[in-house]
Amino acid sequence: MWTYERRLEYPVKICKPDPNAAQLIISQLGGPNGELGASMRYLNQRYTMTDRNVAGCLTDIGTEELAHMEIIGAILHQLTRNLTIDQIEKSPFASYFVDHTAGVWPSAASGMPFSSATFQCLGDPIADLTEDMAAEQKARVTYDNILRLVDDPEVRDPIKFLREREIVHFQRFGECLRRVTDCLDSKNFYAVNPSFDR
Amino acid sequence: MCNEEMKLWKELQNVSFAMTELQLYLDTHCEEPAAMALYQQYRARRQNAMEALNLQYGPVTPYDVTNPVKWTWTCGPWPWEGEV
Repeated sequence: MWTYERRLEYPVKICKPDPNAAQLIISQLGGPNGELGASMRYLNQRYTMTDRNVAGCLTDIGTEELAHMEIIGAILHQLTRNLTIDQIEKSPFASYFVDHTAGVWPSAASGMPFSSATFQCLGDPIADLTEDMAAEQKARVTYDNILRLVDDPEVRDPIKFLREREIVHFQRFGECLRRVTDCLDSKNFYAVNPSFDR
Repeated sequence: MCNEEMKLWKELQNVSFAMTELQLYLDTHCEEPAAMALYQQYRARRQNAMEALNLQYGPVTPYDVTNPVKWTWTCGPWPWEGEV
């Protein structure tokens, strides 16, 4: 069960609209390495995670990713409100605008809609946790790329916070993987899938 | 899980659902006295159930952990295991 708190995990206050930046940053809402996919990946992997501490970690990181989705939503909203038609016309955001106006809709920067095909839930703790570690690195690189392309410090500040969280999550998932393998046959971790073979 | 704990979880579930229903209703009926009074009644019951669960059986949310030496959030079954 979830409840909502009326606050962002990290504040977002952007004064200057910028449709170009929005068109790039939207990838972290609905793109292949975005926050929506991250949350769905972890929250859905919990059911077959045999270690209760690791299941707790997936719950807590999956929950934090929902908060990150909201931060990205706030950034996109503040970058695209009060735009003039002239600003929109001259930006690659125009093709998004025609379908969504300034609504916040999960898609990749390329325009590809959000898809669960961007993440896996394999029902095997080692496979799933290894995917989770890779996912955190992919999200970190995406934030690095955004930081290469966006100059406004008011936009960069929350993006830097989100980038740091990817690194922390990567560390935690590494420890989760270690916890799981510590409980398996050290001569052959893959002899059984602890969530399927009883 | 003992009977007493089961009863508390059931109380939390029932009272919270009543509050969810009232929240949705109140979102579009902000000043309706009967619904507001009912909401406060359920709010008190929810607080009692939460306090009893946190004190006797463990945290309902990770913010509720009070144990100073042991991280109790990950102890015990998760709700999807079918025990609560």
